[in-house]
Amino acid sequence: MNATDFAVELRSVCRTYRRGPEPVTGLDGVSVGFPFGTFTAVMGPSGSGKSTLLRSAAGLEPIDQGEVRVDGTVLGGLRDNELTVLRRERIGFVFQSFNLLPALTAAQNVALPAKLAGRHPAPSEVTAALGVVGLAERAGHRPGELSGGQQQRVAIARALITRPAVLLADEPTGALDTKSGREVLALLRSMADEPSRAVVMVTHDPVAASYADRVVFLRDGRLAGSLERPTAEQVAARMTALEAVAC
Amino acid sequence: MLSLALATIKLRWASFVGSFVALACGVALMATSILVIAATSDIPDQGRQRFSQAPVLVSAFQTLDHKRDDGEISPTPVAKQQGLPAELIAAVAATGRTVEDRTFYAQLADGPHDQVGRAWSSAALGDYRLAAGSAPTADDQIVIGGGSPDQVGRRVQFVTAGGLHSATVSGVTEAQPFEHAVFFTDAQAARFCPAVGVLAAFGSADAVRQAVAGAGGSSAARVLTGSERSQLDPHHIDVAGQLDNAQTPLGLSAAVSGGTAVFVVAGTFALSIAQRRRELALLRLIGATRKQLRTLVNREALLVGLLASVAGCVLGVAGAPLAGRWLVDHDMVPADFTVPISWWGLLVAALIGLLTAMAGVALSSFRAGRVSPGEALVEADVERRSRFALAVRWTSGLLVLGGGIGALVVVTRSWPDAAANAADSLGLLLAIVGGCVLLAGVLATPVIRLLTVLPGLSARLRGRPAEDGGGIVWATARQSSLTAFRRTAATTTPVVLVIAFAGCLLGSIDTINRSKVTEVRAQLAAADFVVAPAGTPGLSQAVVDRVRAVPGVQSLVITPTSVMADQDGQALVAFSAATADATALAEVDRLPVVSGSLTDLGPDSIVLSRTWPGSPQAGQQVPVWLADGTPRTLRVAAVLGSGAEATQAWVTARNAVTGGVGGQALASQIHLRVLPGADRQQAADALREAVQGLGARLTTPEDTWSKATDSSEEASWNALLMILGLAICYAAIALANSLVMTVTDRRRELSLLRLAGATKAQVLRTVAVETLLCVVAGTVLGLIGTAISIGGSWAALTNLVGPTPAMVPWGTIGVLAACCAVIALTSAVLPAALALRDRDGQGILGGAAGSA
Repeated sequence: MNATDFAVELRSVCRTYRRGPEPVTGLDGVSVGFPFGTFTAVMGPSGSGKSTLLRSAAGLEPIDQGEVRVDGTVLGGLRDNELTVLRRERIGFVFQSFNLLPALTAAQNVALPAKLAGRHPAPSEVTAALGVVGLAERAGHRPGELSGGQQQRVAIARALITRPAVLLADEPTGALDTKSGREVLALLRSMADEPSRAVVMVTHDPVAASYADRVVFLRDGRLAGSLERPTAEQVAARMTALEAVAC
Repeated sequence: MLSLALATIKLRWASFVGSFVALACGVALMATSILVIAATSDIPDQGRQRFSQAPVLVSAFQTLDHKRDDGEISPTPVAKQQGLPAELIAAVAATGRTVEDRTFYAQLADGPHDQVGRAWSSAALGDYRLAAGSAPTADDQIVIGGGSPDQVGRRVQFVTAGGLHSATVSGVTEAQPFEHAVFFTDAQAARFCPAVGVLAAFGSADAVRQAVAGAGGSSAARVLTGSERSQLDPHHIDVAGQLDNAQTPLGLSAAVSGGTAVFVVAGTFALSIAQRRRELALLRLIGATRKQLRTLVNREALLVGLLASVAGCVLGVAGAPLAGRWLVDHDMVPADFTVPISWWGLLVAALIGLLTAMAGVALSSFRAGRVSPGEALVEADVERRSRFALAVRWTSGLLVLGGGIGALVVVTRSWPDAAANAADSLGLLLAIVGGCVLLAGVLATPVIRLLTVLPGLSARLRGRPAEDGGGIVWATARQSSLTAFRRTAATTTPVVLVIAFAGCLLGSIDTINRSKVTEVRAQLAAADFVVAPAGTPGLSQAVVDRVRAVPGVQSLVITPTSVMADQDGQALVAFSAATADATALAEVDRLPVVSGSLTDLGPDSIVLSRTWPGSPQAGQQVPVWLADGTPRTLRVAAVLGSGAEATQAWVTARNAVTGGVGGQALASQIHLRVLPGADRQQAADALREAVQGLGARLTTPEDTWSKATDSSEEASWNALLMILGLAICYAAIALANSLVMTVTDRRRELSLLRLAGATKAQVLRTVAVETLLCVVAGTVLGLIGTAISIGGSWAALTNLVGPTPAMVPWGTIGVLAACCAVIALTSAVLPAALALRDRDGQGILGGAAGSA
């Protein structure tokens, strides 16, 4: 596989935190690629390094060793503004909660990345993005007036509008009921079907992971195997095993 | 970014209320002050003026061509104008009809203290018309301006500088607003006041100018036409003085409110940034650059500033007439004073408001730009203290405070007279207050630690952990105030502002005033009685003569004059001086002689204050110019240690110029000493009888020195109260505001406390104790600032006048601290009580969890 076939690629990435008296290993020589057109779930017990991996992939965290590439661009050495522009144009984010600016309506939130780039998106463009996530009629509502699932979908619409190379999702269903969670996961799934995009999702929910093409497991900052075309049962079994070893 | 800023303000309006109110108040005050100052600097021309009927005026304006050190010649008007030279009067008279104007002190027995005597021929210049009777035709006839018709024909008594006189009222005129006048025949007026101050000319202005140029020119007289003529109006001169006095407090209160508004805005925005770090991080994550975040916060401030400026201008437009009326009611400006609304005044105020907002938000916008995008992924919002912000606070606070203290020390050593003057040292005091306020945020925690160390120590003695000292309420309050440092700083800072401000200003002024008392008291230590003016501007020659005639007392007659001297090679400056008899000066008064001897004061010598330019030594020859501009070289007979007192030099009658335009000068006071062997009671009776009916009264030295500060302080006192009131208003705004903003954080905290098993009463007590800790810490810090500035004034004054007490306004500080405590407690406990209502079981849990 060619290097540019990966939307995001980590090569021998090491990251150690020095917050307490003992240095804590976040990532320990992780090499992993997330190809275009795929939906990957990243799983592992608490402290296994999944969040660090996500943050490193987005250039939110300095790495001690190794290399991170996003859509072919090496993140190391980029200045803050260059990183910002890269995130704005090529990375979309969805988190567990607090995805939207409470002061802005759904439509304004969706239009925000484009506006930050100095562009004024056409209203039709915004409505179309909201339409994809099934919320065209809620465009004028503030986040406070939307349900948790609707907020996640607005966040996905916001990620859509910039046509990013990679969508990074951090526990996107963590705060949702089953039905809303399924809607959000289905949306993420459909976004990964776009050949110019990859979706990377950190989760601890085996059902959520079963929507992915592949599950990558982490333990103690290292890769601990992967599963192609996973089912929820397989994932749960693998997780139980990982956690048992961890304890 | 603008729409986002607008949307944020719409949604989070509560966070911006404080900034808005503070800024709006600031702009309103600024607008009011600017409008009033603009109105005061432009004195409206009145239709009726002393010289409204004369087309051209020639006014005595003798100048000295003083050569400065840099070689430039600066014409300086002499301190006491001697009147127009005869040849100039003659030259102007050749151009057409002229009227000589003489205005001098003449006060009817029941007349106002600013009554003046004038010649009848100048009455027509001011459009005076007889209301009853006729013009004065004999020297003992007078016309009373604004008198009542039934006075005509009566015999009345009046006082001039020369003494007591009587005359028959030949007529009265209708009243004119610009003066209270008594008219004499031209001959009699010339006897009372030989000097001609103003010559009204009816010829062509050009001809008059030519005539003046040929007879002394600009170094002898000024030629005024058109609206310039109003400069010679007594109304104009009084108003100018009054308005000048009114400008200082207005400008000061505007400056103070502007400065305080910066603090409120800075505090509010800092808190608002801290509260929405996640939001800012999210913005960064989806592609906002650092600069865009800074812009966002700046735009928010700009919008708030804009709204507040508009509101402030509206308030200012409403407030300006009120301020005008207030000034009129307090006799600070003339009764017909109005405040016109000018667009540029409002614009300037609004601009200053916007600049204030931008200055206040500067640090916060920088901090917003430093929010890292990764914070959006972190679930918990932990209040962290930015090292950079701490460093900025420490540096700026220490710089300002250190600068203030350093300057205070230097000024105290080198120019004690400036440090002993409240107005001159105001900048220093404000620097000290500012430094204290800047440091309040960072010093609050250590002070609270200190305050709470005692219960901790006692707990440790009882073998329990220090944190438990003083019971659970105390311990929780202590920890809470130390952890929630932003709230602690927000509560402490306004208290520091109020206490330091009140303490520094009132304390220094009290100390300075007390030193004046100390000084006058020392001066009068050997005197038995004082004769002072009563309802008159001074003491006439009649009073002086009669007092001198009383046997068994020695009198020291003090007559004010001026002596001019070159100050630092820059300019000729007129210093206030006094005339006195050398022997009496040495024997009746106790002046603080540093070197030389008062008895050496003679026709060729002078007694100078230590602060005289060039700091001359006794025995030295100093060049001076007398009040009429006569250059003299006088020997320094003695140098005085005085400084706070107004008199800078003493001369004998020979070097005092007491005549000139306006007539002979009046004595200001007579100090009396009962001679050994004479009966004190008898002397008192004789003196009392001597001054009877002459507009003078006999008082004691105690009465004189205890009132030594009364005369000039009322206006500045009013201004001070105004400024103090303002500071307290701002403190209340700031306190209430930080409360509004932290109410959600508080709710969560209180719910957690309740979850942990605290009763409602315990929770409320904790909140109260925490708030009081902050108020006490603020008071302590404010007192430190107070001590510094009072110490400075006291050191300077001790240097100047010897031992004098330092006055600490404990009473006022106590009241203000109590006010702060009440405001802070109300704004902390009341919402806490509201938040605790209906919060049991589920409610507590909901409150603890409910933040998103």
